Amino acid sequence: MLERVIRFFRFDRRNGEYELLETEEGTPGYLAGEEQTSTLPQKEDTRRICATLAENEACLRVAFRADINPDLIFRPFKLGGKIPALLAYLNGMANAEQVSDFILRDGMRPGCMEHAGGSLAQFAIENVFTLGEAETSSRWADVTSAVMEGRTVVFIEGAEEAVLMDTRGFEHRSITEPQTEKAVRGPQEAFIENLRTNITLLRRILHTEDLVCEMRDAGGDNGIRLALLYREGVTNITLVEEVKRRLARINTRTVIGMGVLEQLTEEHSLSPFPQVLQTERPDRAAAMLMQGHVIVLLDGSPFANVMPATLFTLMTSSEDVYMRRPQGTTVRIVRYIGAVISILLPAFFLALALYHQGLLSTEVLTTVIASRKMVFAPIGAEMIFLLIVFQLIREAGMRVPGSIGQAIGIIGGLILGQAAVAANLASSVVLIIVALTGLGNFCIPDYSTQIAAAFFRLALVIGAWVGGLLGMVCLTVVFVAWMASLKSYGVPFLAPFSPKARSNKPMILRGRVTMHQQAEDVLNTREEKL
Amino acid sequence: MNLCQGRIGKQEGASLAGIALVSSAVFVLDIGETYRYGNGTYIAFPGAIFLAFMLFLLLAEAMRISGKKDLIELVDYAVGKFAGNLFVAILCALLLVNAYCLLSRFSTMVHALVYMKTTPFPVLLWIVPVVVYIAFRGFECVARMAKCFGLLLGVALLLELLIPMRGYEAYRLFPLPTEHFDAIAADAFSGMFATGPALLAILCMARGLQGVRSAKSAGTIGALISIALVALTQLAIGLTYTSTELKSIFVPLYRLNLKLVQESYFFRLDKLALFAWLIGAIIASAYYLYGGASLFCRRWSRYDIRPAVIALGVILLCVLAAERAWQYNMVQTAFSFVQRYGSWMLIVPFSAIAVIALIKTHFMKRRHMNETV
Repeated sequence: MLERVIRFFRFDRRNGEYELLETEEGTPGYLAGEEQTSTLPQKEDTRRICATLAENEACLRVAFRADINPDLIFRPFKLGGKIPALLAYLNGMANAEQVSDFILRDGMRPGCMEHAGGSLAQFAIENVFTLGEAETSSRWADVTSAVMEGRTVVFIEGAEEAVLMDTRGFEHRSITEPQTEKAVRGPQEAFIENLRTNITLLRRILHTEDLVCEMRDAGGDNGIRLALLYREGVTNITLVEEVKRRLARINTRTVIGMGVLEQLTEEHSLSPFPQVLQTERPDRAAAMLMQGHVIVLLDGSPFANVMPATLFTLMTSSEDVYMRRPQGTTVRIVRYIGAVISILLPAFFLALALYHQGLLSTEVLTTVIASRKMVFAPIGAEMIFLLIVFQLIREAGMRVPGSIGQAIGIIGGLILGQAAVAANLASSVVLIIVALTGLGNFCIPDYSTQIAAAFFRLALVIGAWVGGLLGMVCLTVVFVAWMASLKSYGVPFLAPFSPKARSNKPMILRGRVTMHQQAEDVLNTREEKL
Repeated sequence: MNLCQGRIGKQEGASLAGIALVSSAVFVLDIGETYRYGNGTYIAFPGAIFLAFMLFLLLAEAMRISGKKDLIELVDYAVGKFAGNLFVAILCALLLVNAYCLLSRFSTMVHALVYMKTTPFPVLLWIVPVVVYIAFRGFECVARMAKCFGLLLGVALLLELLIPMRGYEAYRLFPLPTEHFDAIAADAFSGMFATGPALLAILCMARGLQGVRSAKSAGTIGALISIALVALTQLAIGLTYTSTELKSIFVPLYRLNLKLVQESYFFRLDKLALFAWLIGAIIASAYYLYGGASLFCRRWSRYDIRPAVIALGVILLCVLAAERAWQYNMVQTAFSFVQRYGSWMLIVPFSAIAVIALIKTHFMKRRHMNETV
């Protein structure tokens, strides 16, 4: 923190600021520079596997604290009925049936290791074990990470290599409907917590041979796996390098979810706006991949992070493209109007009611005054109180199970509102304003953007309370200035509006479906037409 | 050196030039003295932009022919670094004076028309930090803001002119274009102090606009649009008020609405329009402030532009506060001086620079050809 404060006052340029739009001619120099790796001390396990089973077993027992940790299963057996071998896997992470059927049964078949020569481990993979994904390794680091991932390790007496076989079979949720991005006309499946399943969901939609899925460690001590997906030959390589660079410099002990990963890799951590798009819909993620975006999937997270994200990406719903053009256009216009109402209406009303009554017509002013006759709180406090109550109802409705959540929404909205007016805690006009604001807020398709809108709304209300329209206008200008200078992975947040990109696709209106064959210019993709 | 310049496109550049020109021409030049001989400002103010545009084209052409990437390079090329300091200082000062004029005018307007019960200083405390913040975020931010609000402000201005259309009467126009040509031309010339810096700053930041060609296009589009908008605005004012009335009216454009707009069902538009213009003025002032700081840094500081922006912003706030508090006469005298001689300070040296650069390039090319032969 102190370092950041000092840096602010030194006015240094942030190290390695990345500009996607300005690096069309090649990879920026800093991509191989100083900030590429984490600042945390890296522990590197350089130990090798021993030729004796007992030593390997002892090492594994120590590594996994097997004396107090019963999860690790050791199963000695005779390979081909002759050669002593030891099998190890984590209970619950590996599929026990696969272990029995394709490792133990095949391995114990008499005579299967006859004519074995050279590397025993390699011979066993090629002639004995009938599992699809298997490899040998002589490094302890590979063995321990394989066991933690749910793979099965087989040590063979006399072999200085272990056989690692993919037997991952832990329990996971089955594919369900999207919870936060429901679509009436689109596909009804969402990502789940299983990384492999999520990649499969994407590959099922994208039948392109240039789709690359790089598996890597998410950083931190827990070594959670993530997948980096992009289209080789289409996606701008500097964007891919930048994503990798940011992933490589993660310097925290634990990465447990996509939200944490997002915060660790974004450039402006204090920005209310998200700089990546989180989606739980495979169809949306696939569409983004086709346009040249980079996607990160994390094991244990039912969301995909799409980079980069602009304001117009965040305001787009996956369903837009499934609707006919006039319908899609109407929905989008309503959405933008809703967003504007959600952010500006409470502050605007407050400014007019408090400072600029002359701007209101006599009828409206009379209604406002009549409705506030018995309310004892100042109108600014009343507005903030109701906005907080709205957020309370929203949070409560989201955290409790489905039907109860709906009930809370209805109770909160109707009964509490009515009671507040009856008790003279709030006026009916302000209640209507807040209700409209709430409805407008729900028009914003992205959850993080909804929260950002709530932040701006509250700030503008305070600004309008203190300074009337002047306060509101000044704060609005500051927020727009913030958006205008914000960048998501080198792409300006207001692109393709400003800077104007070479794109026929309208930003607010829904364009023709045929326009979607045009690559996104703001991403500087390597293909003009997809 | 961190100039926070980035890269912006033609649309941003044109919007920026347009907003700055319209704000300056409509609100800085729009004072009672301008209407002393009539309401012919619908020719004089667009004329001021046109003259500035001619100077801009001359300099842009000189830059193109001599192969210089921005105005500072051209100045150095024409008169050398030592003498160039003076020219850059003049432009830097005029940019800051324009920022001051706009902020002064708008703080007075907001104070006098909306927040009558308070003093002007709190109004300044709202506006000036926002201007400094935008300039602090860099040229990209200023230009993108201009693009975001440019179209909205243009449409709002046209609506403003359409609403009171019923009250327009042609008999109020005096003088007609053929009469008092000398006075109109003199006004157009003296108005250049407010319109010239906006266009010359575009040339100073030509690198950020991806080259001289792009900067020239942006400036041309911005200038032409602003000539049209300013002419329409002043024509509307001339059609609504006689010159006698205009001599005593504070901000005629604001009064234009107030005269005819009746109370509609929801709200009146006059004050809302004032705040819309305020947004334009904030963007234009941020542009001038950034331009001034940028020139200062490139010439004399060579470090980060952001401390310069903050420092100049604080100085601006202090001058504005001083004007409001106890030094009104002194500040106004300085302002009158700039108003009277600003155009001369702009047109003589910079025309000379363009001509010298062109002659120098011509002789250098000739010498090069002789050497080659």
